[in-house]
Amino acid sequence: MKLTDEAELRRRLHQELDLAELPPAPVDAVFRRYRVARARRLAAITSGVAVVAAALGVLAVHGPGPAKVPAGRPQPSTTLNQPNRADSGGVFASGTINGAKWWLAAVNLADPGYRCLPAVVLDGHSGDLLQPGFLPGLALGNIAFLAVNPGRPGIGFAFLQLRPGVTGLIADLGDGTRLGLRPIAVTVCGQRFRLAGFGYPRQGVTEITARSAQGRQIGYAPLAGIFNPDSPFQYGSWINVPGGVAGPIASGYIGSGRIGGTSWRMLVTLGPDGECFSAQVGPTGGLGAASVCVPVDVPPLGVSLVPLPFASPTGVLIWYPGAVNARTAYLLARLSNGTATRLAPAVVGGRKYAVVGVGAGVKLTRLTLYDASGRVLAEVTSIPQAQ
Amino acid sequence: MNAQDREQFREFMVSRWPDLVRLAYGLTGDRWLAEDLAQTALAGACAAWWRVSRAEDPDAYVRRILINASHRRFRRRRPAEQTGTLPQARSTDPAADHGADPAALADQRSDLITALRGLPPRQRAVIVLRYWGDLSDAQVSALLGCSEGTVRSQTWRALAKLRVSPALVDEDSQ
Repeated sequence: MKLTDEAELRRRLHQELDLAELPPAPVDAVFRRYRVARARRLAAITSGVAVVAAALGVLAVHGPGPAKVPAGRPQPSTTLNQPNRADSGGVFASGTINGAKWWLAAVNLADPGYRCLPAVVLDGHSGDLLQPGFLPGLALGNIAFLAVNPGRPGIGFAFLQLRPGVTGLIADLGDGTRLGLRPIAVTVCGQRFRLAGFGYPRQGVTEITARSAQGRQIGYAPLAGIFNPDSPFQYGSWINVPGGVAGPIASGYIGSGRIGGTSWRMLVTLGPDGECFSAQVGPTGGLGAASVCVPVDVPPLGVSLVPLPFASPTGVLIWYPGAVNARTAYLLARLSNGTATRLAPAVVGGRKYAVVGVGAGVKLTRLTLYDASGRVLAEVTSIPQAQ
Repeated sequence: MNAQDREQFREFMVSRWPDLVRLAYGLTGDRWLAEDLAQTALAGACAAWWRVSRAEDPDAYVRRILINASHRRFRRRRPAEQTGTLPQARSTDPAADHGADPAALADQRSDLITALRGLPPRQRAVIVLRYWGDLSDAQVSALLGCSEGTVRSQTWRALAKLRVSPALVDEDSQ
């Protein structure tokens, strides 16, 4: 076939591009990116205003005078400690970055007595589920980045779930640091994973290279957008590469009900996007949907609620889905209109969940968890507010 | 963004998503990056929805965000990234292809994408916008921020390179 005429090129391009099978529009992901970008812009404006205000304050106190050279910032430094084998807590990497200590460990994030859910946690929290297999696309294996952590500005973390035979890892960081990484074999939930992890400064990671089982040099250069403060990637959540092709590890409904005559049900999905709660409004979700994703955390002693608002024609509905204590037999939700609702938890992916939905103008004021013998396990009165 | 704007944008996103991903795939030759770029463009459009929704041609506005994001990404690209993710083979419809061998068709498609990836970003964009997007020289020049004469010269150069592209020459010799 010759590309000698433009009509032939047009036909070939349509044949190539139009036949591609596409996933549905990722409505929630786009809205998440928009919200994160907006939050960053606001944060930048706020910090800019603070800097200007501070500068004006200094001028007001000292008046004009000779310019002083600002004290230099300490240079970022990264250290990485890798045990020869995973310690009893599953730790496969630890170290300090800009003076702050951190550690990465492979643990089970399911409740005791249920199915196992292997994951990597940072400092015991902010978990990312380990994939049961390898995602197509990268010869190294699966790679995950925890984009700049809101609790530690300017610091990120990464871990690799390596394919068999991949050795000799080197991570080049954006500040010029070169880290030598060694895969550590960790057994979680009866499965053996070869993991490596490291922390990186705000400049991000420029390249990760390794030697494949066949002795070939293989590499991966992350998208710069992952580390760009202006990028729409969601900070505070793990970014799995390539995340779009991995399916959920577990999924199931955790509750349903009616608010003002409108039916709803709540789905939780555990997968590469973390722990995602999706509310479907109407009999088949035809009246709308809302969703939110958070990192998978260790099962709570009480309850970890994630507010999820939805703008309906009659006002804003708010759901409070979340993981609950593994021993919870039932919950009692008290609302600002004086009513109380008894809820039953549901188990999805070996984790226990519950959800409360409230209508416009009504607030959840108290949530009490009970065990099977009717004893109070936990009580929450400071309910997180929807943004 | 109020509830009405949000619903309008949702409808816009759902209807434009396929074409944006296809355009991005033509520009990058990488399915995962294509979806990522389309999301980036739509998130940008969401942030400026009041402007996009009032624009004379909202599609052109979003395409321009996507093309700019693609060019920025190309400038930062490193060699390893090019080999890190390969386009997945697509299913073929033999009936639509007049009974041709599906494997051979898949190879041809990969060859075309390979050949496109060998072009500089602007030439690649011109080819995809003109011959896949069916846009006029004026529309392409507005999207790329260059003159119509530049569009024509870039098209001519790109076609010349495609005619001697090893990926397509090999195919001709088979």
